[in-house]
Amino acid sequence: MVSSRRIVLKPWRVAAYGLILIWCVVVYFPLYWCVITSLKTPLALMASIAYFPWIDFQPTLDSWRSMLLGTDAPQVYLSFTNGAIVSLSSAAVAMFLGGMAGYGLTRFTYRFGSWRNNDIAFWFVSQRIMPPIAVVLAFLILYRYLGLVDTRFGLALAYTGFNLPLAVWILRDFFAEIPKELEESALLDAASWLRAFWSIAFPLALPGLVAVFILCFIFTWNEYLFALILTFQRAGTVPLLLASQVTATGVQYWRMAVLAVLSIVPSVICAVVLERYIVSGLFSGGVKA
Amino acid sequence: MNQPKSAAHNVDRASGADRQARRIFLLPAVVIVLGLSIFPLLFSLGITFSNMRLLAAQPTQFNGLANWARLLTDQQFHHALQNTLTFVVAGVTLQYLLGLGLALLLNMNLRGRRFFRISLLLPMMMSPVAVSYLIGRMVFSETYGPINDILFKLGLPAFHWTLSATNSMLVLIGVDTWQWTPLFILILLAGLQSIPSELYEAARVDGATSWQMFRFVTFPLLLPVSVTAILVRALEAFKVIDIVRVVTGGGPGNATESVTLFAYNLGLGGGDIAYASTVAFAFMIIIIVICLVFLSAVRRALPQRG
Repeated sequence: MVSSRRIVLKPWRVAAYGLILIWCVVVYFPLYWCVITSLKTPLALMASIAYFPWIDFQPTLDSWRSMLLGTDAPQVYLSFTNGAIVSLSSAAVAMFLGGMAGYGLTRFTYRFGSWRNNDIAFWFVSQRIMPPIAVVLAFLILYRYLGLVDTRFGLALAYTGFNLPLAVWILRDFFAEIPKELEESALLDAASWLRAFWSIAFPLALPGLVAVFILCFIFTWNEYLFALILTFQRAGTVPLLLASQVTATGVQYWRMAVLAVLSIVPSVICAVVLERYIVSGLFSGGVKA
Repeated sequence: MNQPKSAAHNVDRASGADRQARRIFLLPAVVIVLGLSIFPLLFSLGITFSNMRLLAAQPTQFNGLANWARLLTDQQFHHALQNTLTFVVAGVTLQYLLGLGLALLLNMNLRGRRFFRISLLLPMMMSPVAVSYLIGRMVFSETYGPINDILFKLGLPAFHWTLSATNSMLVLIGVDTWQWTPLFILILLAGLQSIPSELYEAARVDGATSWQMFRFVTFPLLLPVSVTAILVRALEAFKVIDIVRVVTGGGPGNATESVTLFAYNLGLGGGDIAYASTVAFAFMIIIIVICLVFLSAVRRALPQRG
């Protein structure tokens, strides 16, 4: 029944596929171009504009070898290690504390002057209005007194403050969906609120917590301004390494291409994992709120 | 399950346990936001009334409203503000229209949804610095990029942008649009799927055309979601620095310099932390005012919503 209907291709349906195909080309062509650029030798890159490996140019791993094994390798490894440590730790802290706050805001009634729970939640998310440049210069001055400039800890701390408001906002929606009755029965068994949170609500909210962790991780992994101002050589992250390629004498496309491909690997993983949560309505839920 | 727990749990079970627990849940997040967001913001406000420099040549002193007075007549700040507004208004409008169109297409139950969703998420998950390289530096490269090569092969004139203010801005908007149109698609797609199908059936019974259904059913019902999405996206777009710094460096001249890049150059390039903070703080106030004006305009445009 369904398949017999599909044989009759309506013209608007063909047009729709055509337009979406164009969009896919727009999305994937730059990625493809970046990958093949990383496989060209500097000479081949300058000589002609080639589109297809093996057909109009001979791909090599020279650029990859020189970035991963050559003199630049220590700086590359350091940047990726810094990025991983800073992103994972700040995302973990933001997820955990955001989860607690999100849980609290759905289970208790807070009063702070005339503020109620909704006002407090809005106060958290309103931090996103602030342009980061308005605080990051103050961070630099304060960090110089505290000796936190160019340290992973300092950078991770700054990112935790940056990620937490969004984590609270998303996880509040998540905990609101989990029925209170489950915890109330646990409380009758003389368990504390903390234990009700830890052993009942926390596991139930795991999909939301994972999604928030991924979002915080990737925001931190990709963030540029804080890293630019608060780090120099030792604690710099991947976007900083990438951007530093442009100030070097002449633009070396093959170097950039290798680094860009490497920096995108976590992005691809996050996109594939997050896709599941779109189905479960993470984003639509956030929009309705 | 009943293993012994720390002393904190026993305190919880005592009188006032709820009040204690309440604080434990919310307090850490509040303290972190106060310490890492509100305090630096107030500190930054304080700096705007001083003459603080990055490398202290002279002791920092109270400087009154000198920085704020300078801001009012600073042509370069006004120029950077204009550039940023152009980038945000043109970019977000383009992204919304493209996003709406593609969301309507994707809502038609095409095959390969999972692939499309991953394709939509991918650009957003990438670092703006990497996207700037991919699009701005590689694909649009004037000498080594495929765009000009293809234009040449088709016998069309080459797209030169590095020396043109307008074309440089177009490339920046293009980079941002490549990365963020998918956000609108995802949000609007979710909005489309929450519209009850009975409304369309009723419209069809009344003999409405496809355009009328879009004009009187789809579009009005998408408006609240659209407003949220535009606001969220515009707030992020205002903060732009990475794309500008990597693709054009603010050039040619300072034709594409954004406010954040301007403040960064003042503070770290010129060492004038006090004035850079003034620029940043004024920028925040301007963003808030723009948001409020936008929201009240939207509210006036939607009187029927109660």
